[in-house]
Amino acid sequence: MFLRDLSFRVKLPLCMITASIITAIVAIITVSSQYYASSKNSHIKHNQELGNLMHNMLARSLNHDDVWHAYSLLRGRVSALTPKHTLVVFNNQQTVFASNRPNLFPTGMHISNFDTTSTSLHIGLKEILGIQKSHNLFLDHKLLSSVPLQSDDIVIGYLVIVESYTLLTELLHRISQQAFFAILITIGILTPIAWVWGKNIVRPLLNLESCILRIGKEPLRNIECLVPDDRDEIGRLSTHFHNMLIDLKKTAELEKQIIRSDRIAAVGTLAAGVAHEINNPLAGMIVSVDNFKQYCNSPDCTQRQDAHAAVDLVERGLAQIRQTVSALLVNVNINDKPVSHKAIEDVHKLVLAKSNTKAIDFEWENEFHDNIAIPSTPIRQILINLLLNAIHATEKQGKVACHIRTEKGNLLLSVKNNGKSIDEKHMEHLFEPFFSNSSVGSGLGLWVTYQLVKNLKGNIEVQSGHKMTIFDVVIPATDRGTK
Amino acid sequence: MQGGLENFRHRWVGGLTDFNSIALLTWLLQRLLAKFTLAVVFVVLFLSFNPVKAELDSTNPVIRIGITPVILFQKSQFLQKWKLYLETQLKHSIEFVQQDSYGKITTLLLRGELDFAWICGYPYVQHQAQLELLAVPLYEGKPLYHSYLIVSSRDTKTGSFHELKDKVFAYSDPDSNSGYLYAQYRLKKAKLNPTLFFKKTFYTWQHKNTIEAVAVGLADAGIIDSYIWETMKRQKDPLIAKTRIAEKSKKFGFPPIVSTKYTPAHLKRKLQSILLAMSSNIQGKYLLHQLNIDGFTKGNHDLYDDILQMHLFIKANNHVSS
Repeated sequence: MFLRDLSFRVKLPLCMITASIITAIVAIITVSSQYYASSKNSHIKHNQELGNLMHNMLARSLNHDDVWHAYSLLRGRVSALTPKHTLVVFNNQQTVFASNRPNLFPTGMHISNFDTTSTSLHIGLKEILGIQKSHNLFLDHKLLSSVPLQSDDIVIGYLVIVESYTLLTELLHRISQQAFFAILITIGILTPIAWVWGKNIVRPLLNLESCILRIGKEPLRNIECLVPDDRDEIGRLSTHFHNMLIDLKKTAELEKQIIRSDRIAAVGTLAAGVAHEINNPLAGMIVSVDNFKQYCNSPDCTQRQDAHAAVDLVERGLAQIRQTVSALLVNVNINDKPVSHKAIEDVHKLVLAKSNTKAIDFEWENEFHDNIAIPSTPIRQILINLLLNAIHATEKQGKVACHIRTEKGNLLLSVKNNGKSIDEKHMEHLFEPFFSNSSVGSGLGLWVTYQLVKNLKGNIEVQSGHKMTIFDVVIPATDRGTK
Repeated sequence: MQGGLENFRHRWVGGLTDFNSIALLTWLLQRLLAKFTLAVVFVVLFLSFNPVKAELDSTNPVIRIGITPVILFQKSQFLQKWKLYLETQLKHSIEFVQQDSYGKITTLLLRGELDFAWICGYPYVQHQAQLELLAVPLYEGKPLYHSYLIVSSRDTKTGSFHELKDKVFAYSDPDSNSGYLYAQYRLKKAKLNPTLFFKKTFYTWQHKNTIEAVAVGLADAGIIDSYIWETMKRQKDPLIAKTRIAEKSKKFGFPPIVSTKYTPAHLKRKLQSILLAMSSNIQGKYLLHQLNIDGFTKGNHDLYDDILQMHLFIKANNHVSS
């Protein structure tokens, strides 16, 4: 809504002005209605008092049938001003005896004739005379008061005083005029005050806003926000924000440190692992060499077998080192020939023996017949790794399935086994180097596989659960560029 | 002795600051030609500043003169001036007595509580035996006046008494010739009962009140003294414009100033001569001008024969019903 989008600099003065106008209007209405009510009463009292003052003389005149004296009393002092009151004396036959306005109420006119003269005044007088006692009647901006004229204890007639009441509406009109100007002046004074006040309230909010906007755009450590000392809501908000900013900064620092340490840890782990892997055969190798030196120190070297064994050990150790190192330095030979159906069949043969030792039901489906421009060696390596893992994971007489096919120009490899599933904790670190859930193996197999797949710009996924583990590899055949 | 010292003070103070002199001056300047002004002013000032010794007659009581609404006596300033004038001339303190009605003055007069009174012709003829004519005012050169039947200026049709059936009628005073007697006479002459002929009648107690009653509509018609009506017209009273003369009566004798059998003879002579001489001095003329009369004359009881005749007619026909 438009109103909600207005700035506080506008809202605040608007609120203040609205409040003051409402207050002023309520005050005016209250005062005016009070005045109106009390004025009504005072008018009634006034009329009755006037009647009381004139009562004796009028009663006497009525008694003596002295029309002139009654008239002169009603007329009062002769002045140039038109009378505010209309006064009519009636006898008890409801006939006009005298009036200060004889042209309207001539002597001798009966109220039954009042209808023909059709002014509301006549109707009002007829009505009030109908009530045969002291009575007051408001009619058409006029107050009619009847005062019975008594001689001793009998009523000989009535004095009806009619007072114009329009003065009140005039007064109310004047009050509202004055009120209108007073309100205008109030608005004129309040608006600049409220404007300044609004600005003052808004300023800390604007500062806060600009501070908040800087988060994300600037490094946190550069952001400094001035915090006001106030204890009001906005002040507290600013303080909380300031504290939050400090916390953010601390967290950011911590994160950096964690990342750094994580990285270092990872590198460290890798390095340690590598070192360990190198170290392992190295110890054996050193011992072997030592042995070799020992065994072949004699001239005929009768312990040749032992020497050969020692050298073999060294050889094997070196081979392992080479394997480890070469695994770390994963490289794709671009001159490698493209993979073929035969190459993949070779892999089958390779692993078949291993599976047979465990009497595993080895399901093999090689639908690959194309010649796709994917280097053969890494594909074979991937397959071998995955199959060996699968075989290793499967129990005796278990099942391993392998499906190789192409789809949309991509090479799809799928290796399944129904061995013990990989639990979730291991899944996280599955492709990490030197991670193994078996005592056998370097723990680098999957890591190497992962690197090989990534180098071929492919993707490897694993699903494991309910005694079923599936490794899916997708290798695209599109141009991979040179490495 | 009441007012003696006060009168004395009045005379001295009056000479210097009183409205008397200032008004006189103004009036004179208005009336006289330029070349006489200076001389006249001198004379007037001489007269005004002439301190008359207070020759208060401590043996006689104050001379009481009754005043009735035959004149427009609301102008009490006039009465003060006239009082001063008469006192100066008479060398006697005077008191003007006013009452609500002709009847009260007449009663006081007959009881000897007033030395003189300016009354209407009607009470004079009623009590002719006890009253003595002192002076009769001259109005428009003659000691005569009329009775006017007046209606509202909006009433353009009424021309006579008998057209006023079932109307509200205003009399001035039951002892007034022009304000009562004449109407009674006219109606009874026409064999109408004044009590039943009108819807309602009432007394206003002063001629000018009758004019007001008719002007504002309190009464449909009224009967008044022509002198009063004409004087108010001369003064441009706004009430006059709201009335219209429906009928003028024949001329009657002007309301006279009378004395009683109790009044001392020397006083009668003195006052009479003063009144008659008023038209021959400046101050007197000024006062007469204020009164709208030309002067006073001795007068004769014949002047009031018409009134007497009407009075007798009424008495004889009191039981006539319409």
